[in-house]
Amino acid sequence: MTFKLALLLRESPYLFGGAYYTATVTSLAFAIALGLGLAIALMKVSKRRLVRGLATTYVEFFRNLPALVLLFWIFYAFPVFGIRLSALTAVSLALGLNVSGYMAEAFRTGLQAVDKGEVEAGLSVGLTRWKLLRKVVLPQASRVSLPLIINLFASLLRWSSLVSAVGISDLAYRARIISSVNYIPIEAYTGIAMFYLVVSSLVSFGSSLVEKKWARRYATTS
Amino acid sequence: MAIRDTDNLNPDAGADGDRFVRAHDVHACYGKLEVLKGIDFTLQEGEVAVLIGASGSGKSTFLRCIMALHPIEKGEIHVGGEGITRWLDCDGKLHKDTAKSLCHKRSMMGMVFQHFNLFSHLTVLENVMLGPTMARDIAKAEARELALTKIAEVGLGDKVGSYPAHLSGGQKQRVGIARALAMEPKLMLFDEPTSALDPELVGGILGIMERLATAGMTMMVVTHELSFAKAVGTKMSFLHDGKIIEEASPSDMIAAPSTEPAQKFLREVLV
Repeated sequence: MTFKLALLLRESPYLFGGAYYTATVTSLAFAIALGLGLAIALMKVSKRRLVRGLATTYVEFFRNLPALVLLFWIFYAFPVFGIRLSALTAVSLALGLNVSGYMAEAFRTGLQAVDKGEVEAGLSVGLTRWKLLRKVVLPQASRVSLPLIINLFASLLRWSSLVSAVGISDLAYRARIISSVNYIPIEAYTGIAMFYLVVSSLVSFGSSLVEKKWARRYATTS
Repeated sequence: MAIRDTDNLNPDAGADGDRFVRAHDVHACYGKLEVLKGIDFTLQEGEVAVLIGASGSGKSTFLRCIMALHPIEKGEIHVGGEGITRWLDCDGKLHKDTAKSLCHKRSMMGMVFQHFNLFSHLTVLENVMLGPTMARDIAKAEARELALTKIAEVGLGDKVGSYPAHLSGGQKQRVGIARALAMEPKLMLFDEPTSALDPELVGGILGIMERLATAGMTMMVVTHELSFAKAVGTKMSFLHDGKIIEEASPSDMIAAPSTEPAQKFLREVLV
């Protein structure tokens, strides 16, 4: 068996062109997960029991549903109910919903780590709830949440390969095409595996740099 | 103890009406535990009240109620003629603060906390500027000048760019004071400002507070620093089990407390 590098290189413009769809789906889903996740996390730390209960139900629902099942469901069931979404929007929504449960937990961890004393100090200088959230709570919560959030971004990048199952022409989809047209499964899948590996590692590396910088700035000296 | 219970509110404050701080029959709870059981308290402008009492007697809770950080179940508090969180008008009608009016009232007071509670993600300058820019709508450049003045006043002019994590306890509390002063408050609340400090740092903080008092600031101070109380305080209130059971000038109370709990408490503090 030989690794047909030349063949892989010849096909690589098409293959890695799929990165456009991978990137689009990943970023759309990430944006959806961020927004929903923050809203759900804020509900989870609410004083009202009912609100907390709703949030918990949401998180459990989407965490316990396989991403692929949710993806198929939204992709095939929405049109039946007359909801017309573009293929890209539908798959991004599915992945975004799936990850939003985890995202909510990531935000909640951060929100709960914010020192109550600083919240009181914020109130005592006359901040409204909204300004307090924006200027004191979220900046500190994200310090704790950011590594978790970036990890979820990296996960999303990898999970985005699921969308190939409904015919979105992303990296995984194109790898399957190339592999069957040229009979080079090893080469094609190794190629995209390397891609996912490198990009995912870069993301994690970036996150650790930020963490180190923040640790230096905020770590107590005493 | 429902919040609409208006029985003990006092629409006509009578002779105390001109007092700057006025608390009448204030009750407050933590869950089911009632910690304030009917506080009556007044303070005139420019006065410095020292609140003492054993831990759990309600001193800190009382300050927190004045700053509206803790809800009052019953009774009312007025600062500078304005009711805090809930109060009765002349016709006996109950009013409650909206979120907005509460923020406005808070921004007219300053509070200094036992554990400093500095915003750990902001520099010293940003800590002090946050209130003025966000709550008082002062333009950034002007707020910066104001903050720098207040920071210089507490002797931290060389630390404006530092983060709280890189400051000593004494320096942190100086920032805490500067942050409160930048609100240009009419009333300063100090909640055990020196209890978390190493002994050698206490004097500096008390010195700053003494200067403030001399300059005419109206202050309420929860502290066990009796020498400070004697030198600076105009009155001393002793809290016991959620009530103020004794009030006198600091030197009188320290020399000869009249109630038994105060005698016991002061004996223990003085030892």
